[in-house]
Amino acid sequence: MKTKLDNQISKKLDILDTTIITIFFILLITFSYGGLNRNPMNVFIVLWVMIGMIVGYYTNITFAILYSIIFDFIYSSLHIFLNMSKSIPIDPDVYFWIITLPIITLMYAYKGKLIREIQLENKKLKKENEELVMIDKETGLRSSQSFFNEIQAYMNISKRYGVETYLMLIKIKYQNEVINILGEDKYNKIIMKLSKLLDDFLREEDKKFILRDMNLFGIILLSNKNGGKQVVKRLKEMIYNIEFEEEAVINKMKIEIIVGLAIYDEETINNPYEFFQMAKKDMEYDV
Amino acid sequence: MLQNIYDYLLLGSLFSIWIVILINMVLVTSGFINYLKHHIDKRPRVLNEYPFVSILIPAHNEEKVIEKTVQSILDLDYDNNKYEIIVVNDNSSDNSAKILQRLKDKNPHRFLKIINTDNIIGGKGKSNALNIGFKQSIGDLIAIYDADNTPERQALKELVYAIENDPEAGAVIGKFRCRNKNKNLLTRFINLEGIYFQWVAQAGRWQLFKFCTIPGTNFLIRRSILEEIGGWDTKAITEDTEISFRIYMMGYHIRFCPYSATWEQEPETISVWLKQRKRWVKGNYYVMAKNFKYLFDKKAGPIRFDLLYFLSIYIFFFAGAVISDSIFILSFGGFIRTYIVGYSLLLWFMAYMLFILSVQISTSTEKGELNLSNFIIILLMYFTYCKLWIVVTIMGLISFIKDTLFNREIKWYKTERF
Repeated sequence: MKTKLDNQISKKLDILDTTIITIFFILLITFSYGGLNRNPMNVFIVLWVMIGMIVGYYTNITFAILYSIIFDFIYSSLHIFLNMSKSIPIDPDVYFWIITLPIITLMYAYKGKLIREIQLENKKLKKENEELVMIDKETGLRSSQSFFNEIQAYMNISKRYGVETYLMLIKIKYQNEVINILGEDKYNKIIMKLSKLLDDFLREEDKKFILRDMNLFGIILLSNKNGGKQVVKRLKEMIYNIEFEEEAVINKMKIEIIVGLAIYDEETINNPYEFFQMAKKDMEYDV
Repeated sequence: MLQNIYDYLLLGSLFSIWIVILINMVLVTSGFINYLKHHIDKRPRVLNEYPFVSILIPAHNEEKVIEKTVQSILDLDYDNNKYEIIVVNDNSSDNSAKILQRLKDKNPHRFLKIINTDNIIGGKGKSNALNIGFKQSIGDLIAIYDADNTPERQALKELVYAIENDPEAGAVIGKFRCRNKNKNLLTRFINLEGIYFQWVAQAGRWQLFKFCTIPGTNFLIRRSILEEIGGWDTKAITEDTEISFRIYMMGYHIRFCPYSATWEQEPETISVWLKQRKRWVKGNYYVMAKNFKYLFDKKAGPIRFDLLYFLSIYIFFFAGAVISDSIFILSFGGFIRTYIVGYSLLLWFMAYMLFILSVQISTSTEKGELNLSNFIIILLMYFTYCKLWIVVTIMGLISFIKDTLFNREIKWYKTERF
């Protein structure tokens, strides 16, 4: 449906452009061979046609019609007056311009409108698309778009079935310094490696997020008594021993992580944001 | 150049047509400025406190439409405790009373008042019905809707906002649109005419002189003003123009509010349309005759422009159109000879082009009206619908003269519903 609609607009644009080019070709021919050049007034009118096109294109159809109304009125009144006072005959080209100017002006105004429509639609679609991206392109983890929604969903599960729900936030220790020393490129490599490691290490049903705007990894996991603590411990060991192939510099630095862990408690946590803040607070204690 | 009496006649008629085209062009342009102003202004239109409003609905044998109308007014987006509805079911012989009672029973917690009158206190026309309703109303603001109307949900809110923010406004009018425009060619014509009328006559005049006339439906008026002028004039055939003029004479103005719209039913057959329009034209002649004195009264302000406009259309343009058309037909048939065909053709052509463009510009700002089928209808309109206008004007003029001569009395002029 959507593509069909777009095609219609571009088809209309094609027809408009072809017609306008044809009209100008005909104008050119009539100016050269048809005698329109005999009256210098006609050159002047072409100028008004051009102005009308520009006005129409940059404003809207309503303004283009107003422009045509004013032009037609003044132009024909002038010719009626000239005919009455000086007996200047009314040639067919007067009628020609009365019709042609509104047509061309309106066509261009319509073209402007169509192009604006496409631009608006494009903008809207891009925005919608951005909002719909759930998966981070580079790491394959879930992106921040759905993070808080998912927390809410897990909070509900926990409430209903009494399973312990943990929210784990992971941050690279001394992150800014790491970036300064290694540069963005290498830092990205670390992120990739960590992502892959997290993905392999955690279970399928644990939700893994990469929150790029906050430089965090977020993990929601369901577990039994104290399961969360165990996971943190093993994860830390694993990351400490991580080996980057062909990247001796990173290996020397020894990447470490800070982990914050919060367990969902019906009594104290009312919304996903509070849950998130609790996990963030817990990161302060990971020294 | 000018060789005989026909040439002079033609010249005169063409000049009066040119003048009317000029006035129209000025009005279209100011209508555009008005549109631009409202288009740019994106401020929210919300009041902290909405006042109590009384809505009057005069009805006479309206069983076909009254239920939907009252229902749509009950559904308005306005605090239910802040408005009352007073339906004056004036001397109806059909089922209206039963339908209205049923509606009232269905909505026991709403301020819905039904006044049924017989032919002793009622049955004397719309003005009288409005006066009966007005006496029973309590709001400081009075809104009026015709019995066939479907106002948009925010219509009343917009009107109230407009009047509350303009202490010099004695009344605020909204727009009306055609609900049954897709029925047939006639209703399509009427739809386009209505859009054009609102652009030129209401928005254009408002922008130019702060002047509008009350259209008879979808408007809000202050109670204080109605009390001061003693309610509606039951003798007037065009009570709305009458009140409009009096508001201006009191030093207030009538504000045009394009955000408020109501949808009404238009005539679907030529005969009903002719009857309705004949009445309007007659009313306009009546207004001209009665208020002619204001033309020379400096205090009258914008009323003078309106009278001039009426005058130019109903006398000069009318005469011009009739004369030029008959001369054209006669010379075409070879009965008379004219020598100035050259520019009369150009004038005619200009009038046609400007007519198309002017109607087109007014449709360009209404959603869904700027399309090919409407364009073709506009092309046709000039040769069909507009020519009917001459017929209607002649009929109205004759009826007006008859009424003045024989002193006929005022009664309900009702447009047949479908």
